[in-house]
Amino acid sequence: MIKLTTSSFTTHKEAESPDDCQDACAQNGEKACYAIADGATRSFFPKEWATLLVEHFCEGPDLSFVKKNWRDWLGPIQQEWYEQVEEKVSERNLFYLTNRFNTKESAVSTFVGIQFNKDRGEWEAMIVGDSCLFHKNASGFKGYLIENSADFTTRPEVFASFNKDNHSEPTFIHGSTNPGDTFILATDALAKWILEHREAGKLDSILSVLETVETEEQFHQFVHEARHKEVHRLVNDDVTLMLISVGEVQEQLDNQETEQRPSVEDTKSQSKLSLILLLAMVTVFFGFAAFCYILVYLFNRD
Amino acid sequence: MAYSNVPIGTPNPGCIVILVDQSASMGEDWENGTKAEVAALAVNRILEELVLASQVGDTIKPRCHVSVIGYGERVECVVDGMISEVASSLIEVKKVKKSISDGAGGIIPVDVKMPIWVQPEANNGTPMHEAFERSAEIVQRWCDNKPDGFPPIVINITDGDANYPDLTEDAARKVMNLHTTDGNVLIFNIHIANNMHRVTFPHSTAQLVDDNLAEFLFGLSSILPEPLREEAEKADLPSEPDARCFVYNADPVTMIKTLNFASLGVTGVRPLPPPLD
Repeated sequence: MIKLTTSSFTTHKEAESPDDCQDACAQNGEKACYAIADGATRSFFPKEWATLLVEHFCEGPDLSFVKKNWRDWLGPIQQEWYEQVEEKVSERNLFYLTNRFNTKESAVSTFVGIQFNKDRGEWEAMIVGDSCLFHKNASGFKGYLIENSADFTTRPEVFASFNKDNHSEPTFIHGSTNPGDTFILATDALAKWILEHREAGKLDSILSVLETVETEEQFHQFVHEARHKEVHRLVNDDVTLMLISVGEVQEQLDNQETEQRPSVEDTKSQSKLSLILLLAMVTVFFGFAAFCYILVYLFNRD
Repeated sequence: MAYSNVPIGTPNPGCIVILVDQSASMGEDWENGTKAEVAALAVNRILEELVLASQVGDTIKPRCHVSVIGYGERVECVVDGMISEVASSLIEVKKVKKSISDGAGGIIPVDVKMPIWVQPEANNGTPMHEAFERSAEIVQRWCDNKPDGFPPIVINITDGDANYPDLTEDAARKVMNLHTTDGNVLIFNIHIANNMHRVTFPHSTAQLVDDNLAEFLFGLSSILPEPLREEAEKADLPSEPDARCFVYNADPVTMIKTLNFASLGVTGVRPLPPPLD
């Protein structure tokens, strides 16, 4: 059995505001589901779509079903996106909103979702486009779906909010994992930057930097420095990083915890015992008092 | 390297100035309307594309400054501001029908709103020199405020002779010499006409028929910077080294193609991607 420790960070383009960021990420530790999405800025309400995608995935889908019925899986959130956008468009009578709404323009987003089976140490991921998943383990560092920095294009595959624009079949991959492994989910700019460093033989150094990012402040500092490097500069784009560290569940610790935290049944038994003891003590006390009273009464009568 | 500070965007806004000839000759028929009507339609479309390319969710980001100067009976700056302001300063919205795919192989008509910023006009002479002078003021101000940004782009749509060629040349030279650290201001001239002898992005006057007007406008046009030649190629506007930002005897299709390239293509503010299906 494995345990998962995660951290995730998102930031916007330099000189833009957090509201302009079209990336989204979500996680559900209970279901062991983690996802990132990169909404295409020039599509129609991409942030809403990217957010719906990651949240929907983190509800814990049956991926064997989704694999065969991914359009159906998108159905409920396509409807939700439509309703959200309809409300926003009707609030403001603006040509650039109503025209795009009336002509059924889609929001589009790249996507990476990964789901773990913690008992069996296995994982399965669904990927569309150039948001990437990296798996670092004892045998090396593997990137999905893109392996070379030159393979990033300006027209990645996407999930669209209207099925008429859904031409990109998602890719499903799976594997096993062990304690000590690390998974990195990264949107395109960061993924490209990671691959550029690997191609330059600097993978270890940048991974050690990424893996030590623990706070928002550290992440913003890292992104700022990467954007202003002399070489292998991080493109000024929205950036999302999710780190998933795989650890081992320590049974000894669990046993100790079990001792420290008795079960509900144990607690109930202990309560009953305490009540019986209390009643016995009260009975003994009053019995002894009654006995003393009788003795005093008999003594005084004589 | 010059002309490399792209794409323009909120952190790195650009400046586009469009000059539209509104002299009497623009009232001549040209394809499905007059030259003035087709030119106004094209300018309105390009402004709409710039708005859409600057849209994030339900807001328009200030990604570029846009000015449109009409010159004919008078010289007037009919549009002037950041695209985020321009988006809400329409003079009219026309309702039109547009055909879209129904997603099942059919076509359905839907209502869309056509934003209008520029009305067609065709009166009097061609005070092109005044239009360039007005553009110089706008461009100078921009270069002072954004000294390291992508240089401003001036696009002149005309069908004929300037009233004062010498003054026009002086004013255009003044504009062309303005610069940021990323390069000199670029002037594109789009000459429109009902003439089959079309020349796009010529690199020599030898490519032009013996025509004083063509040579005059060639001289007022910037040399297409090398980093932008590849972008021009993508826009179906092939060119040789040292090509001028100039099309002569453009038909409406060539005019729109060049206008798209000069504004959206050059600056990196792309139009929306074409439909995926």
